[in-house]
Amino acid sequence: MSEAGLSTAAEMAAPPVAALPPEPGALRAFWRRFSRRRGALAGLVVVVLLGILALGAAWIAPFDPTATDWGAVRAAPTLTHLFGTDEVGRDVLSRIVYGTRASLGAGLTSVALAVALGLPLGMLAGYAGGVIDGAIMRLTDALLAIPFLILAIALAAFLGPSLTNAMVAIGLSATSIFVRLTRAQVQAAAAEDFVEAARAVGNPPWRIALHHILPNIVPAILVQATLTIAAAIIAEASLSFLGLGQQPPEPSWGSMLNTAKNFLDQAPWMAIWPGLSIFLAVLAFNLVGDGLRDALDPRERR
Amino acid sequence: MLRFLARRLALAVPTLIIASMIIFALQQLLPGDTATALSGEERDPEVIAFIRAKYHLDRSLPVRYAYWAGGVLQGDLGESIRLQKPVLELVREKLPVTLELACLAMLVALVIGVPMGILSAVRPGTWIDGLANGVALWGLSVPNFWLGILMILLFSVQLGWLPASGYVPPGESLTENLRSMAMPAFVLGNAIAAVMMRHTRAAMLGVLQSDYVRTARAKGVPTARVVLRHALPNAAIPIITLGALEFGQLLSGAVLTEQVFSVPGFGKLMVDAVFNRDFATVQGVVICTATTYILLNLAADLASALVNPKLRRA
Amino acid sequence: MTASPPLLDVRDLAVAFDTESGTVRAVNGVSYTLREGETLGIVGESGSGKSVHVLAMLGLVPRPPGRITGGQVLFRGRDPEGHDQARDLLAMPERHLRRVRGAEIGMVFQDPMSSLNPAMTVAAQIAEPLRLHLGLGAREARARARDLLDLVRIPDASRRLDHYPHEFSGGQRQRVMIAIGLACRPKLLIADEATTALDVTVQAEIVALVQELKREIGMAIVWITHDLGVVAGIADTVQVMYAGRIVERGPVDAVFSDPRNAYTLGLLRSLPDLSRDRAGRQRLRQIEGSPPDMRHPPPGDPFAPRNPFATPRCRTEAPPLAQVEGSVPGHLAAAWYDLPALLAAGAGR
Repeated sequence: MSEAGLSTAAEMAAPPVAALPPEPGALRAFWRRFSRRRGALAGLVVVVLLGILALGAAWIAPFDPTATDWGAVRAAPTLTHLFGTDEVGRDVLSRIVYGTRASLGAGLTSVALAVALGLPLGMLAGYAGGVIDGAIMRLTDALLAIPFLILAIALAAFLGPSLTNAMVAIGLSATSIFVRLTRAQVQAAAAEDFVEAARAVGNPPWRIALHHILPNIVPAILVQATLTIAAAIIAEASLSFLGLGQQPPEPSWGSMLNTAKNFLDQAPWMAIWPGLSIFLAVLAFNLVGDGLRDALDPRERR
Repeated sequence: MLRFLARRLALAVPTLIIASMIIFALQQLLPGDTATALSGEERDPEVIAFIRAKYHLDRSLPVRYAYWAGGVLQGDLGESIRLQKPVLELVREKLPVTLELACLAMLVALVIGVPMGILSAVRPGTWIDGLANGVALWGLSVPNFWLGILMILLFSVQLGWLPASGYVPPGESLTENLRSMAMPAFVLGNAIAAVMMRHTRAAMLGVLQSDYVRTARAKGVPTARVVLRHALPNAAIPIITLGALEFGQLLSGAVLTEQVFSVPGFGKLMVDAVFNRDFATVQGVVICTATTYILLNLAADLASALVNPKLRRA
Repeated sequence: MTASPPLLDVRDLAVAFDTESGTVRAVNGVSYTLREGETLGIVGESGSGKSVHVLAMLGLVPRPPGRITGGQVLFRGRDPEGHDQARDLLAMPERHLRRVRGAEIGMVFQDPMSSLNPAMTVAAQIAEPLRLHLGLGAREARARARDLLDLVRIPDASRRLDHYPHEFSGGQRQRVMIAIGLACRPKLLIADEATTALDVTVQAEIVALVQELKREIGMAIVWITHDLGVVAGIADTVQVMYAGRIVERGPVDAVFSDPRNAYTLGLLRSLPDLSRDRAGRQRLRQIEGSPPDMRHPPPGDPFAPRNPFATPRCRTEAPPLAQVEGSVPGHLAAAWYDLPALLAAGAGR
């Protein structure tokens, strides 16, 4: 009994081991768990393909996405226009390809903004505690009380409709999710033995936060970020669908659907392809997010 | 239980105050002169002067907030410049429509999501579980305005079974009301059903592994009774609280659904207001949404307290 | 021993769990019998298979990942016509097994905090088996539930019926669990680490209660524990398990005074013995090493790697469970070595 007590004390006094250094096999093990899920792999493939479409839109799209052709207005799909044309004769396929930019761009940018704001605030709240924590939490509570899209619409309304403002609005609306997640993770990590040990040997708080806590909360943030990208893509499409995002004639899947709903009985293809694209992109990010979560969270495994 | 509710209420009040501050501060985002911007497209000097006086725009921001918040507390949500009506009146007119839609959608979500979640938790790893997870993934990934458009294409354009748009108040004709709400409610409920299914599955999986479920099985209780009588009540608390959080999602989704099906509710009011640069209405709608949301969460806390004997007695 | 057939006859029971990293062979051919009214103490550390094999025979091991890979469990209970008959629990359909559970075999689990349903009153939880198995109506079942609370010595039973588990103390909750286990007057009560989560004084109360109830009701008991002290106080027969096998079994006195398996000896030596005087005090010892990885059990005697008495044969060939020479009949042990001789020679001190 007394021996056991001593050895614990000895461990406490020893210099702390760096917080979970990435083992050489860890990444491989992670990939093995991730790739065993076929859905997650398929999602990853789609995400990569969408990335290629967005970056290479200029080479991939058969037509200029804003070029009108009054001779082929609302033309059904043909070999020239594989997805048909819209109400002013623009090639739907080309607009879908270019629309990837708005969707992926908005998804990534707004989530990057949300993480950039939410992570430091959440770490501050979780680590400082007390009044600072209380203030930050009331603020996120208040933001969460305004439903995501409603807040984004309100922000877009006051900021003026544009894709950039939509991204800002989505990013700000999503920030509270990351504040809460980071705070909870920090509080959980701060209670771990290795953090206790790091504190016991006199590491300054910022060092503990950066070197010991941050690496441990990255997986959770990564999973949430991936799932939030999916939500942000829907949000951008929603705002554009309402006319508050990407402004015409620049293509966006959401605004294409907005126009399409006026021509449902004459040109249903105008509604099919943009919706399908949104669905696939969101599904892909959701699948990757679920896969990441299962691969990173050992509790989920069975 | 009273203490638990009092604590919840004590948290809700500052939340609501801060939310109102955020909503008020939105005005500051307007480019240029606030009064001119708030006047929308009218640009009538009289209107601008009215707004300047109404919002005390010559005073400092905190003072202006105090005036505004004081008005809101007395039910003065401002005037819709565009519609020449008090915002409160507009809200009163439109809120019931959205609440009906939201409740019907919640019903759809519960009827689909909870049984599906229970089944998949009882038989994890089987085809039922796979199917339920697939349906949930679909529900989470399909944009509801697109689903709405697809349903209009099928049920209105192709089959002609349901009206593509419009709204009939239940007072006028209940059947017509339900016919007009069927597609919007399903579309809106679809995404929430997915979330409810996931919550239910997770909660039930946890509860089904608990010791007291093993005790029930050791007593010889049949499986169906184990699931419904022993496990479900214990899983209900997280399902209720998380379900209430989804109400925000429901209100967000309502904006789009109402737009697709031209349902004259809250969301339609807000989107129209945005385009008419009718900012008082936008603010009014947002503050009502936030209040509704906070009240619903309080109601959920109350409901879960009623389900939980530990809180009921305390 | 009487000539009547045993109440419970476990034959070569084997249970495995399929995990991501391979199949865990948790129980490997366990055979024993239990007479009516006998109290059997099963001892072993966690992972020895002592709890799992019991849960498995009652169909309470979640499947998947659990899997019964062989054996028979003959239980002499009432068949659907009401006759006493030995039937194989493992071959029974779930709906028949369900009528055995809670009716003819009662169970008491380890943690009374988590083993009672927090959302049901104790009356509802005690009445449930009565209504399900005995077909009692709500009123009768409630009256019986009250009597059962009396039986397990919970004061003021009628007032406590409508209380929820969180309104009881830990010891009282375990009493409620026992009331549930005994509700239908089972022929066999299985207590799985029933006192482990309780304070020492409460443990003693629960053990005393079970002994009294046994005198009143006369059921057989299987008492699963890692605490040899409890077994000494309660059991007629003790059975030591290690790595999913029985390594020693016999009348409590014989096994405790004359252990023949090194693992049994290790367990006995890790027991603080307060009765010995200062001079004769033995040092408290722990068994070195850790239990084997049951995904890849070592060949031979699974305890051999930790066993200071192990012979070369132990490492290659698993010893059978056999009658111990020179001890009372029914004292069985699985060992290639002769423990008393080795101890006399001064080994393992």
